[in-house]
Amino acid sequence: MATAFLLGPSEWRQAGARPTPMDVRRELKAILEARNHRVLLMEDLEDAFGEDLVDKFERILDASGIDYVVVYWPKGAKMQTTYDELLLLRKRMDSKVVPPVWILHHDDVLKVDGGEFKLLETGERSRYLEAAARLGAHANPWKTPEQLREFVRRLAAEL
Amino acid sequence: MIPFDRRGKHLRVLMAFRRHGPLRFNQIQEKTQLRPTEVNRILHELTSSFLLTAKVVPGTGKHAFAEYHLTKAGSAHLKAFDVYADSLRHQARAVGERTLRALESLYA
Repeated sequence: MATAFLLGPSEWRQAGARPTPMDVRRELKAILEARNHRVLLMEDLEDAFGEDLVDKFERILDASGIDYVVVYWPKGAKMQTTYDELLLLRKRMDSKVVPPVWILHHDDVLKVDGGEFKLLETGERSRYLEAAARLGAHANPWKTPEQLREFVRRLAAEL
Repeated sequence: MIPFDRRGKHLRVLMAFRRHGPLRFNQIQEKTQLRPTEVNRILHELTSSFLLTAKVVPGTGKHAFAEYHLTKAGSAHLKAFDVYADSLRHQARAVGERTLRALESLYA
C-alpha cells in the first residue's frame, strides 16, 4: 500500500460552481483509496499547536511516510497555495529526499509543444514550472472529468 | 486503448521507448523518422492515454522540457500487441506477406 499526499486548490477563482476543486480532490482520494492507497489531504489533518501552514506541510512530509505526491491542477482555480507548495517541495530538495511528484494538469493550463513545456494560464508562472522541473515531476494532461478519473485509476496501478 | 492509426505510428513510438528507455522529443523524432507535427500529436495522445508520461526536466534559463517515459499501462499494451503479432506470424499464409512485412517493420 502506497501513501499519497494529494495537493491542489480548494476553490474556483469565480466561486459558486460545483463540484469545487476540493470536491474533486475528495473524489480523486476515494478513487485511490478504493485501490488500497492511503491518501492525505492537508485540510483533513489537524493543526499541531503553534504550527503554521509551512510547518504543517513539512510535518506531514516528515512523519507520514509519503510515497508520492499528486498535484491536481484544474483550469480556473485559485492556485496560489498549490504553487507555494510546489516551491516548498522544491526547497525541501536541498536537504531531504522528496517523494516522486505527479502533476495532473488540465490540457488548457500547461502544454508540451515540440518537447518544451509551456504554461498557458495568465500571469508570470514560470518559476513554478522551474520548480516542477527541478523536482523531476511527471505531468500528464486531462481534458474531461472522466479522463481525470481514468488517469488517477491508472496512476494507482502505476505506483 | 492505444489510438492506432493506419500506419501504426503510435506503436512505432511506443516501441522506441521499449528499445531505448526514456526519450526526449528530438530523440523520438530521430528514432521513428516521423515529422515533428506528427510526433507532437502522437505524444499528446499517448500522454493523455497515460501510456507515456512526461517528466519535466530543466532546460536553460526558464525553459522546461519533457522527457517521456513508458508507463506500466504502455508496457502492458505492448505486451498485448506482442501476443497479437505472434498470432499473426503463426497464420502467415492467411495474413499475407504484405501485412507481415508491415508488422515486422515495427519490430525492426
